[in-house]
Amino acid sequence: MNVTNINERNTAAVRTEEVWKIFEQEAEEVQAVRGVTLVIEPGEFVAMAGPSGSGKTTLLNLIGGLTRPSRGEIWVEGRDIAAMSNRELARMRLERIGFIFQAYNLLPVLTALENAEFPLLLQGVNGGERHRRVRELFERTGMAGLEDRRPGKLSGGQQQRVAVIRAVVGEPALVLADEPTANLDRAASDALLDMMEELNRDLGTTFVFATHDPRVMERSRRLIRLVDGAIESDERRGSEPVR
Amino acid sequence: MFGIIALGIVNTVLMSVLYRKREFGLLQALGFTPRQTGGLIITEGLILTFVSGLIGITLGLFLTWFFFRDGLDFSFAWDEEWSFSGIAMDPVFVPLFRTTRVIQSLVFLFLIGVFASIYPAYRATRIDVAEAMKFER
Repeated sequence: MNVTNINERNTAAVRTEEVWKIFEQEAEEVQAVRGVTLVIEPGEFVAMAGPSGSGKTTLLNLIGGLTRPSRGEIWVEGRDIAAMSNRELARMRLERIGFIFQAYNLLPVLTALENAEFPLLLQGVNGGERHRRVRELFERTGMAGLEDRRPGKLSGGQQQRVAVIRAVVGEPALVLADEPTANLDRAASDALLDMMEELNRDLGTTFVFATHDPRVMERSRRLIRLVDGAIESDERRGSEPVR
Repeated sequence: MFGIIALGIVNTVLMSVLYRKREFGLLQALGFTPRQTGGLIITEGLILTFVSGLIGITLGLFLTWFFFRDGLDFSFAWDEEWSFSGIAMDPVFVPLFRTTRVIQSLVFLFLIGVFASIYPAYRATRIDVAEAMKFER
């Protein structure tokens, strides 16, 4: 291993090396991710695209520590997550990673504000500070006035915005979004992407998407195409990552 | 009796865990440790038994006071002279209230609440988060 590799590991938001994920399904085994090696720098706005079954969601789950690799190594901010205990992984997710899911996954009994402040509550941030930070993000993202509504009283686009606020409110290094626009119409998708671009630019948060939505691919500054669990192409375009 | 109560609670709590797999998966994705998830379920089990125990005891006391405060009169069936195997039976049955019994029931319920929630809590700590968060059409 040379010096450059060690430096990349320590400074990259994400680095994977020869990562494999194999699921045992009855008699056969499914190779969902096959030897993926990639580096994602802090501040990148990356889309991992591919048809269903291409391994993009599994790769996202591996990076987020929701599932463990069968082989290979994964570093998030220079920390080897395969070596972490479940407790350490939970801590890392709480403090360094935000998740956005296709089905929004807000807690139905909590209001929009309570949902958004939930990670801060788990981090032990006091009530005044929690409200201040959440309200600031609601203001910034055009959601002011909807704080007290429950998810059932919000549109799909609004619910996903709350999920984005929940993902970034703890100021994570990395936001992992799995098909965030798949349930939204064009206008809501565009608005959501505007919001995420703005947060990426202003806060420097790294965004990684798993998607098959052409709009997300168009607007990402780096597009990684996956086919059958392996990287087929990796192209960068537009500006450099936000630092 | 307590075994039946425990089975009922295991069933209720376990069903709620399986039904809310996604919710527990989400909590773990957001940063709950498996242990915190288990603790949440044991707390839920305890609240469930404690509240239902309180309701049961209050209702029981009220019904006993309301219907049986003057005793349950069986004098239509036998008189005061009647005895069975040499033991005289009073035809009026009077309920006996003892605070220790009430406290005993509450303690038993507390213990049942904890023990009946252990298995569902263990199941919740074993949830495959990636699987639980899978989008279902």
